[in-house]
Amino acid sequence: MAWHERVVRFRINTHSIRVALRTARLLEAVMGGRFDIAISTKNFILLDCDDKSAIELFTEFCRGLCREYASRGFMYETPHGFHFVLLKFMSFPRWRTFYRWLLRMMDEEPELEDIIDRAHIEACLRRGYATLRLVQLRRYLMIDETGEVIFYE
Amino acid sequence: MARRRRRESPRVDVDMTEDEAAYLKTVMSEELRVTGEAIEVAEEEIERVFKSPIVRDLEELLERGWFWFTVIPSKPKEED
Repeated sequence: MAWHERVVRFRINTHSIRVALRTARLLEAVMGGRFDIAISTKNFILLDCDDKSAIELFTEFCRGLCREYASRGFMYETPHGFHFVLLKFMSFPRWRTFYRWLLRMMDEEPELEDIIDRAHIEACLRRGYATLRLVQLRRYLMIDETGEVIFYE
Repeated sequence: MARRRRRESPRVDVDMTEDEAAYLKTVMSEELRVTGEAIEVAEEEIERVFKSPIVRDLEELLERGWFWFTVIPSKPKEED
């Protein structure tokens, strides 16, 4: 069995970056594969868009969230897609309710599937937290509380 | 007594099946004896994480413990 098949479910959570990096290096020494560092939360909304051609629709959806929650949000770009963080603190039950509502919205409006990664939302609900890898991320834009978009250079 | 800040009070959770946990515990306990020095983390590597744009943007939320770090296997090449 390939190393990534054996360890694909391994997720080590810690508040210490030193512990995270040591654990990653140890696992790499033991398993022979590579491990990434990610950040996780169960109090803030993280959304993935895996289709780069859908960036305009994804941005519009995120602008709507910023206006609805009167909160800022950051969007990051990776070689494979976009990731959005809404800076609105939510209790864990409210966080979970949001993701469940989003899944229902995707059932009712299938076009949302084109701009939001359903598998990511389902994984968030299954694990009880959302995760974003810190690999090849770059700032893309910021959305303010009114929905105004500010692009980074 | 002063309350310790979360980042200085690390907690490690392992989210895996019992079989996977048993396997990892076995191999890690063996490897720890021989690789203990090899897993020292360079300060530059920690600096690199803290220079990540999202970590800088969310620094205060990390300090409050609302975000934390997760170690996960890299995606296989074909999934990149």
